[in-house]
Amino acid sequence: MTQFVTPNGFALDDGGKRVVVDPVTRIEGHMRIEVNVDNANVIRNAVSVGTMWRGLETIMKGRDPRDAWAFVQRICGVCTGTHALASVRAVEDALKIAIPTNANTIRNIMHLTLYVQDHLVHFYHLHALDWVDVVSALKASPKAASDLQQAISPWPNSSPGYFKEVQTRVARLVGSGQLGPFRNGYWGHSAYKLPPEANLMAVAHYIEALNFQREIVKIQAVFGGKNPHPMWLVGGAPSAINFHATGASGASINAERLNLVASIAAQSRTFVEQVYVPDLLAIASFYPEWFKYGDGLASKNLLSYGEFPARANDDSNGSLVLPRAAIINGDLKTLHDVDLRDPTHVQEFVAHSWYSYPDGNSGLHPWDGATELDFRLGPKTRQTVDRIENFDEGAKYSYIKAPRWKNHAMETGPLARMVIAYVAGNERIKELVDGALRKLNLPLSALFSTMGRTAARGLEAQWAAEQLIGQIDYLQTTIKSGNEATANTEKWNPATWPAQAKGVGCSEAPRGSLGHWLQIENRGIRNYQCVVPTTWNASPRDAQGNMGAYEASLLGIPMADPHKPLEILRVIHSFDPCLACATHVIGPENKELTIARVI
Amino acid sequence: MGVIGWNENTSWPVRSGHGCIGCSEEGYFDRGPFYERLPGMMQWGIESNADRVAAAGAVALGSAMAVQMGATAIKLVIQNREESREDTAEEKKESLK
Repeated sequence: MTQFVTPNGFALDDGGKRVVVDPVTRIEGHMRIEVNVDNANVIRNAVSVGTMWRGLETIMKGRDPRDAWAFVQRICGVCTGTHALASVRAVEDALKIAIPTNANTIRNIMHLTLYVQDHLVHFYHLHALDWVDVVSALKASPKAASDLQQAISPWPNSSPGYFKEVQTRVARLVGSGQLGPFRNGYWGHSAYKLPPEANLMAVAHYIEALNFQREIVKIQAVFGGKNPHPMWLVGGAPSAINFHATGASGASINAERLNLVASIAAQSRTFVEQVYVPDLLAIASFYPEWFKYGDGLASKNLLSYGEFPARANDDSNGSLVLPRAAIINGDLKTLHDVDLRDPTHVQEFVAHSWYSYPDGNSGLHPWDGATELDFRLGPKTRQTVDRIENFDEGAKYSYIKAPRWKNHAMETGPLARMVIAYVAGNERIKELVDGALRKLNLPLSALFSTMGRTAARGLEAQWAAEQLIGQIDYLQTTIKSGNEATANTEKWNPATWPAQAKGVGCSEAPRGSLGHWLQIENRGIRNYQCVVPTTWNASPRDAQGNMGAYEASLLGIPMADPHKPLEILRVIHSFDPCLACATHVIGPENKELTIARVI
Repeated sequence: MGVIGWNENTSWPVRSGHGCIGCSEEGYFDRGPFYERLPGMMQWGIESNADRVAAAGAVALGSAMAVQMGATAIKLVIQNREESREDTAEEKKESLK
């Protein structure tokens, strides 16, 4: 048993009882959390383990850089398109390709669409059941649910009859014993605080949102042909515009298609304003203590690469609607410049990750990054023949590398973006954030918490839905002015490229900062490195022992019942983890390890 | 246009204006680059070379992209097949009338 303080200021005690959650469900990918709890069941140590390897960088070598987007996009089907966006930007940066205004607008539209859909799905389908007890909804009075609904929103699905019908459907599911999406919840857990009618309202919206998210992504299908994994293009957007074309023939973008897009965007805004945000505020008001728990790095170090260029080919903060900046040590008065080309800014460390670098303790800038596997377990690992009971966080313990900005562990995601935009003076975001805090009677500092993170995401969804409508208008205006260009093919031919080039492309994925760094040599990819949002947030410790955002945010949280670690799920889900599908854990004898239980 | 479009028949990749990358074909990702010209490449029993297929494909797509992307044999062959399938369907409909 040891007690110590990490260099970034977190007191740890690895004594007491070790609790393991593996796999963490309702996330994308595979991850494991181990915590130590003291006699009062308060978390005193936390270990975040990425239990799979993303090997996509390795297979990029030698490929045509124009193809890269199609490969890296398939890292993940949840924030689909984000990797493609970062990739085409990286290639355009390397080859100095300028894209037309319409291409920039179409990319903004596709990405804003993703924000709205991804945040909605995260809130209802990945996170809400940490706060909403489905079984309790069966006890609700449909009349009370109707009264609650009508008190908080003009949303029309609000009659007692409607809630009665939802309740009957859920009762049928529960009665059949086949709970479907509602299986494996900690139903009846003492940490659930919503009254039955609020639970019923949220369950009704879980189902409505599941249907509605299918509509939102049609916007991506219009511009990219399908969702998930729409089509992208180095040099612009593939969409050909002909405003006067009709039907399915010819150009992909005509008046009918743009009307469809505008109509879905308007519905999306209404859904977010009348369902998502009112639900969020209603649920949050029942969990005031969760505006205190789960801070971690949030009140200290926040990072955003910035997103949504208002002008094509201009990613300065004068053009980015959400700025690129870092906040360090909680100093909200200073926004630091973030330079993705500077080798001293973003570096990845592997002292506690299952990779090897020539110099194990130094960091590497992603342009020079390496992805060499090195799976080894530390001496304090507790394991049996086919099972790892506990990892040894003193040694290597995760497939996730430890990225650092100027050696600082950082939190990234909607909370970071909203706070940075707030500090930078974005009027609309200030209005949304202040409005929500006023309704909840909370100070700005309450954002630095589990519920603050969840609230920031909902407010960002509302902002994104508004921006989406604006960008669609802008596209229509530009087209009507006679500008129909969507791609620049001047440098399409590889013969026009230099023998060597390197580029960086970044994006803000719904769950945080995403960067792709690539080197091109003889018209093929020489090196490709992705540093993804969850690499930042779920980062293991670095060589100095600095904790990442997930680990730090779990400290100090009291658990009602360590056998039902609902509190851990609340904190981790508030980050919206995305670990991206790859392989399962392969043990030393290449036996697959399956650990799926809560101790 | 495919028989069943993506996202409740909203679209499909070629309709977006992009060449088909053959994403439902086995091993499509290792059948050569997605955009490179492959003149003379004969596949799937199509007795035509890339330039001839491309010329036909470009007309059919009616899109500037098709010309710019040029002869991406794999994709345009598939495009061609889709069209001939649709033609056959149209013919069937005609014959039923």
